[in-house]
Amino acid sequence: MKFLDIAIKDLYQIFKDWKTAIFLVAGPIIFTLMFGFMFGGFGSPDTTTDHRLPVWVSVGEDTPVTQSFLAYLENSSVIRMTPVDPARSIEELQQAVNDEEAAGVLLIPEGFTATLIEKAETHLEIILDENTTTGITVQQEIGTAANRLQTAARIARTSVQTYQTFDDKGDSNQLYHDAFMRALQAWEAPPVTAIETRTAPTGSQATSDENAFAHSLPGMMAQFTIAGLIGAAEIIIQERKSGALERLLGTAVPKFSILAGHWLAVFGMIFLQFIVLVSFGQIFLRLDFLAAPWATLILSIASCAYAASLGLLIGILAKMPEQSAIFTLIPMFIFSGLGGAWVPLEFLGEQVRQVARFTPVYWVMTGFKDILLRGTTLADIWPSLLALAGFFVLFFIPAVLIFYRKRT
Amino acid sequence: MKSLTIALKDMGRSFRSYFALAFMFGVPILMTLMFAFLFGGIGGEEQAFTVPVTDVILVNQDEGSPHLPNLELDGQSYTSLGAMLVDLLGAEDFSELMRIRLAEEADARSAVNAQEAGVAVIIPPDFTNALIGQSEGQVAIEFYKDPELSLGPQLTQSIVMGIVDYFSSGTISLETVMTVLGEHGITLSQTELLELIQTLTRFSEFDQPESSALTIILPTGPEVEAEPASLVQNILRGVMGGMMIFYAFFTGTSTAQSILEEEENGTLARLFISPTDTRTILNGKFMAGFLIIIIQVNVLLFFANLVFRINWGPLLPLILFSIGLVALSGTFGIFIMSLVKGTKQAGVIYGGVLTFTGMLGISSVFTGGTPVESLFEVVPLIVPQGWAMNALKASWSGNLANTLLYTGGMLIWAVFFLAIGTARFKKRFA
Amino acid sequence: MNGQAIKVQNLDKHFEDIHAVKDVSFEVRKGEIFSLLGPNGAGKTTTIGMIAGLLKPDAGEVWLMGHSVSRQPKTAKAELGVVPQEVALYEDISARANLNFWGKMYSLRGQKLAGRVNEVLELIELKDRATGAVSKFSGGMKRRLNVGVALLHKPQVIIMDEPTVGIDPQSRRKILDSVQHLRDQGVTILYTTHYMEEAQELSDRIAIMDHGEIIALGTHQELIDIVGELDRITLTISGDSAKAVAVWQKIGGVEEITSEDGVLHLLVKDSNQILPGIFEAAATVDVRINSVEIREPNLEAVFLHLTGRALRDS
Repeated sequence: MKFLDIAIKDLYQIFKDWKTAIFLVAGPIIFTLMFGFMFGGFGSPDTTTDHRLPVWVSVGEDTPVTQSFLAYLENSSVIRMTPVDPARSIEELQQAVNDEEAAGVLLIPEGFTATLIEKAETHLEIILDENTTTGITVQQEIGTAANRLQTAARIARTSVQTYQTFDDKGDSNQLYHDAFMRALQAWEAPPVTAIETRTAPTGSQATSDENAFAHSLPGMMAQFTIAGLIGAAEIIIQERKSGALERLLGTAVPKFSILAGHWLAVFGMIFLQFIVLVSFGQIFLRLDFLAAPWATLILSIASCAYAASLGLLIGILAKMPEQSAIFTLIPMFIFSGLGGAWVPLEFLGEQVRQVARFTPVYWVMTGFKDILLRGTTLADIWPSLLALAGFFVLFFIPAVLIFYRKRT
Repeated sequence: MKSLTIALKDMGRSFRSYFALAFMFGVPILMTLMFAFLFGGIGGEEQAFTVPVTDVILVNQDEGSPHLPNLELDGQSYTSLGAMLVDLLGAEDFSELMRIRLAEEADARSAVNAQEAGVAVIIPPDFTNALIGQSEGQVAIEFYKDPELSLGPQLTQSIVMGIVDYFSSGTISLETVMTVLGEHGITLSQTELLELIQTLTRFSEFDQPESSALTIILPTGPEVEAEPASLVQNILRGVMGGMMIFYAFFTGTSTAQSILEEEENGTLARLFISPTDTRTILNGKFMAGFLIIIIQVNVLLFFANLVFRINWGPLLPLILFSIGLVALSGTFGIFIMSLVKGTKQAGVIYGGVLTFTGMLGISSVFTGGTPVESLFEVVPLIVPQGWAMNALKASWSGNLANTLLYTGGMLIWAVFFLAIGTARFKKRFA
Repeated sequence: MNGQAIKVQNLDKHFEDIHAVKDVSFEVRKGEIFSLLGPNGAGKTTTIGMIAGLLKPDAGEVWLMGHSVSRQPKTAKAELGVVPQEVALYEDISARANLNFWGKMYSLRGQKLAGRVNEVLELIELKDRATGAVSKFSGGMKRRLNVGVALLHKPQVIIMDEPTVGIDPQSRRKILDSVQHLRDQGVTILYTTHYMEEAQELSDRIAIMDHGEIIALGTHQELIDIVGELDRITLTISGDSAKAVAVWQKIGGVEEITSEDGVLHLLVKDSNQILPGIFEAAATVDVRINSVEIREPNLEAVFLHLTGRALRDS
């Protein structure tokens, strides 16, 4: 049981510094909130915050047609239109997009209405960066709207042409306007619409608001698990530097007990972090971890176990605290980047998605996302558990071997 | 002169340390290389953003319509618009975006649940009737999506609905024309109606929908040089810039930490015993930090431009940003180290303070150019790294005014940190 | 100030509620080896910290070669070399690089610096290891380099703070020899130690310090005379020590008897003559003498006489 004593001593050393405790607990919470909010974490319909992409519009001519077009765009669920002074220069507007004040700027030029009526064509200009996903999204949305406008103009023209075969003296202008507006309005209730559904934790097929925290929290949990290892590894380093380790080795405590004690302390530290984050997610972020309590518990244990092994290895390898910082931050960035904690894997190539499976962060995130987004149970997350067990072995065995070799 | 001697001695020791070199250069470059790998290559060639191929399962429940028993397209016959839609989605034009297969509804949902497909597209039984105006009310195509994916299923939905829009346009056109003509007192004969229908519902002539003319203007400012960055280069620029800022602060802190190390190993006392005043000694230590960061920033900027072909924007804003970064990261380190008692607290400093503030400050790297809520434009400014990141972004977009603004902020931070750090060290060594 | 290398006047220093140095005054003459002898915690390091300008005194003043340390720090420090108790070197650079750097801190430059570095390397017998990293040196080599740094600028005064603590006898011998060699070259040395033998061997004058105060100052002989030509007999006994003390006090030639932790110390005029009487007297009161140690007068005895405690045990 001496390893327990060692673990308790280590935990005391870690947490007696309140700054460490705050970092370990507050850090991931703050980042989770931040990233969740950034990506529309609380985006339910009744919030007053508009999470749509801001798009400026500079209107070169004010006509019923342009007004109708803008009114139509106002109904977009993706972009939020904001009129700007048409006197602003192109350069100013380009700068606004560059500075990320706007996702794009729509320019409705003079002559737009005339071209639409005469030729049933829309000629628009958009300032956006087509090399960003934001730009692609804005382009698609405005393009769809412009297509419908164009179609409405063609319908109106056809209406007038048909009408004129019957009565070439009638009020075709009024007819054109009526047909155009009716066509545009008809697009607001087309015959076929889209309904989006997703798998949801309760298994229901109902449409659900996407809880962005379900994506950000697992990523931050996985990432900050590793970041916290710097402090934990330092305990091991200081023990060696101060000579206390030599002293301990001179006692009857077996070497493995020393390792086990240190490992257990790191495990305890990370597990405490997980408890806080899971509780926080459950209570404040509406993430239903407890829908699958055993899965959450076992996955948490597996995640903490592998991370503790990594922390043990770092503590054994590093000769000084600065080294432990490097040995920790490099895997943190690599595992988090490759594992999908920063950029969702769907944005990355197939090759990368395959490589991601070789990172522990991928399996931690996959496991928790399965629990939160798909309502999977313990039986379903076995791939994650198996992989994390593998990572535990991968880091623990070398730690033991190196420690034994150095101390022989 | 003695200050310079002390500074050069510290610089020499830093550059002799593999770990210091790893922090200064190795890690930022490694991270950027990793992202270059993630996005499929190192800049220089035209690296277009490759949208992921999404596995799509189509469930065609369309029963067709007795009013439209036969459809033809490119010599092929279809019994329903749903069948035509399925065939159109399988065209080669879409093969880079979607891998299509057919299944029954239950199997399709299971496949999405098991992450074997990104989205199941379920075409309702009344699809054809709705499109030709023969159903009561609207019908809906259900997109049953994998909750972990966003872009792929979204693009699939856009493509499907784009085609459906084209189908819909015929119906809308017909209904609208009929209604409007009726309101203006025109009633069509059977023959005229048939002719109108054929004109407006030319499904057989379906091609890619004629797009409106959308001219894209790139947001390159007047001072920014010619070639716009590809998506990959944009991402790498953000990552490299963020890493450079992140690790410049590490460098500033570790060089300031040498004051504490020397205090602990006795060489600082020895310096104080020598005929060298405290101010000279501290100046030398501080100068070392600034010089090292200058080298670090320049090497990283140059390396990124040379290897990743990252365009940092016009020179003047870049110089301003660099000055601000050197001043701020160096003085931040002095300030932080003046607060701690000894090197034993280094772990908390590196692991906690620097990592946390660094990630908070460069968090905009992760939003990928999305304009974020105003609150989150402000949050990174709580930490000095946030000012550096904003200055860099203003710099590479050629916005001199904003670069000056943020650099000014950085310098104000720097003065504050230097004043407090110096005062605390002087008091400590009085 | 003529003839005085170091003058310390009324130095006082508190650390929170510890009065570390209490109104200490002394002078060190040019060219002498002056030892500050005392147990751990006596205030020696604090005193020399103030002399070296590392600590600010709460009261009092220090002059080095006639220059006030507080008012003319640079000039004063230029005359001083310090060998700290712990090795204070940059271990990740070479011996030569260390010496070059420290020489510059003492305003040596160019050829003068290079020449002096070579001289010092010869002096400390590290010329062959000049370019190796100090981290690879043995403890003794590091100590020699530690001394070498203090000698670079040819100071008039050298402070050596317990330079032989924790080192092997051969290295210790070399250091002691080098101290005498420096004195022979006219350097003034302020030497702190808690080893009585070193103080006795090296010093021209010795100040004994305890609890922040100088309790005795003088040459070795002058200090010994405090206790007179008295031998010290140290006894451990079984039995009633009070009865033993009572009978021994009646023996002629026994000047003083002290007891510490069950050990009895007797200062006597001639131990050979008195010792048999001590045994006889003990027997009369049923006291058994378990061990006897005889020492001729030394600084240990002086310290014991002045403080009631043994220097070694303090």
